[in-house]
Amino acid sequence: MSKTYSVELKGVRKLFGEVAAVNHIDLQVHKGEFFSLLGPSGCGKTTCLRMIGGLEAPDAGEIFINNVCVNRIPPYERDASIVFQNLALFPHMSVAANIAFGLKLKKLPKRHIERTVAAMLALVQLSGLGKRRPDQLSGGQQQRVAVARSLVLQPEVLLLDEPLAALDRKLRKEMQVELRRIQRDVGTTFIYVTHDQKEALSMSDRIAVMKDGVVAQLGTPSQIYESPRTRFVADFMGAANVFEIETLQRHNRGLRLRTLGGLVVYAPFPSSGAHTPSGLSIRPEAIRLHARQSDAQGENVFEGKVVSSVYLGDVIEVEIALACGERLVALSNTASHAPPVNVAQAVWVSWAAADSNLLHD
Amino acid sequence: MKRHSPTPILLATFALLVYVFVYLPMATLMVFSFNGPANGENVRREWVYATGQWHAFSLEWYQRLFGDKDLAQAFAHSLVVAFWVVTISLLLGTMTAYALYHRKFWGKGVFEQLLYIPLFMPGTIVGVSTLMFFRFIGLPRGFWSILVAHVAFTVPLVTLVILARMQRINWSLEEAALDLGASPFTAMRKVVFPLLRPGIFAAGLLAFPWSFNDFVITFFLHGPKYDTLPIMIYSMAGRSGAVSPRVNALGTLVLVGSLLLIVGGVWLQRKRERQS
Repeated sequence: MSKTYSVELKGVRKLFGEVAAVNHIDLQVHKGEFFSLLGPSGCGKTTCLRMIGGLEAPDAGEIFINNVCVNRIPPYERDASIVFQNLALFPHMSVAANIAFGLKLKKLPKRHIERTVAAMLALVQLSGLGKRRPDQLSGGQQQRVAVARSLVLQPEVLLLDEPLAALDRKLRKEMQVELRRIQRDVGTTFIYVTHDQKEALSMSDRIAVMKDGVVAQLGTPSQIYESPRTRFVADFMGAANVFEIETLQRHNRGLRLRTLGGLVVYAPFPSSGAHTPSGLSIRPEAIRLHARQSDAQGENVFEGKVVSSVYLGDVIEVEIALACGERLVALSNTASHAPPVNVAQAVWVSWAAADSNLLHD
Repeated sequence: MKRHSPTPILLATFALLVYVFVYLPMATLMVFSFNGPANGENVRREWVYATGQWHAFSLEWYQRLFGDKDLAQAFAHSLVVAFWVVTISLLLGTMTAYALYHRKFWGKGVFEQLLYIPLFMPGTIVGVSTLMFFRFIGLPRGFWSILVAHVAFTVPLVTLVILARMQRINWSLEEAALDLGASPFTAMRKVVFPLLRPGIFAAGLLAFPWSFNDFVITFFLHGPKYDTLPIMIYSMAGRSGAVSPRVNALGTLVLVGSLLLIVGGVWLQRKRERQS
């Protein structure tokens, strides 16, 4: 027997007019997983979510929830619930009535509903606020009500459509932690749509990075962040240093690459069977800065000149022009032992071959 | 140095004039509705008391009014017609607005434009043409002809008002209801309808007086046996211009009734909003 997935998409496609918003997507989401769909606006992530919830019908392919094809099942009979981007709390009902909405439709006994709602309010830390109206709550509290209203129905999967987008940065962070806690407590599968890579990295078990209606890369946060497979993923995940490969040869220190700009870089050997890499990315924080050549370690050591340095509080973002003409962005921490990074200053950079990441598109 | 602009003064004057010309005639009518014969005076010609000279405070015209069976009948006719017109046009108008806002169908644009045109057409033309059409299809003049014509002309009004409300609704609320297990009908009943209620209410508040007050179209359609209140008032005013003071009394009652309706409506609305 095949494995039971919480949600599975097989060859799913959705057209809006002539444009394919979602173009042949295959996905398997495990039970109890916190799964993120990450991508820029217009990549099809929200359309995917709405198709799983039943608010859009796919033009091709099949969607399974709990191994049952739900293509023909209307949203009100699907075992999935959406937390909308604008929350969509019913303004004419109290918080408790909002949460009880789905339970009442199930015609459950009144006492049971009251107890369940109270328990739900406790879970999302809103005990005592049940009588309020949604507009009398803060943004973060409204957020919790929206989650509670869906979770109370004990769906197989909770679908969250950028639910934190409207919150300020600090509250966002708190709610990220809070959502993760709730997810662990209830063990429900969460599918989370976001365009914020930090949010996806910090919350998810796995991430699917989407671009133009297809999955560009699927993996754990560390896989996605440390080994992006394509230029798009590398760029989207914040690896500022992306180079085109001109030639490559095997060498005893690793793969020896020459970029279009003439930089010669060592990288690890690609796993057997992989395509020939066409690009190279290096994360800014993997690059170390040194005042003298003698301090530099690693397979890749270059001399350069600081072009610009931007103070960001915890780190300084430094742009360096290398002797060959290529430019690099590195992060220098602001602690006192770091080398000075004034503009026009000569500086040495180094990184390990293992930090040279190969791109395949 | 401060520059004095004439604009505020001009504006205030204009505003005042508008209010004067709107409300002073009504006030005059109300005052003269209580103008009756002094003790012992013999009423020979009613119209003497309608306006101009003050005689004495009296409820004479109200008494005569309540004794007037024809007038009571006309009033009842107007109420019955307006009630059914409002009920039917709210139902049809809400459905029309929902379809126009929510669904795509062939010829939608043309349909929408055609819907609003009657609002701008001269009543006499509409009245005559409706009368001829009803003759053609064999619908006799009376309650049904008035009802059909009124509904036809209040539906666009209602649709317009409810459509405006729909444009302000957050439609993901309907999706949320569906997502939480509500059937489309239940979502409509429990979520969309309560959100539309202020619009439906406002539309009713517009449609009711429209039907209750309509003279022109009704004039062509009422027939010999179904006078409505405006028709009755017109016939009481007579062609000589000599108005019976009973019209003053009736006008006062209608004005007070309308006022109560509006104030009561607003109050109810506020109360409901505060409750929920």
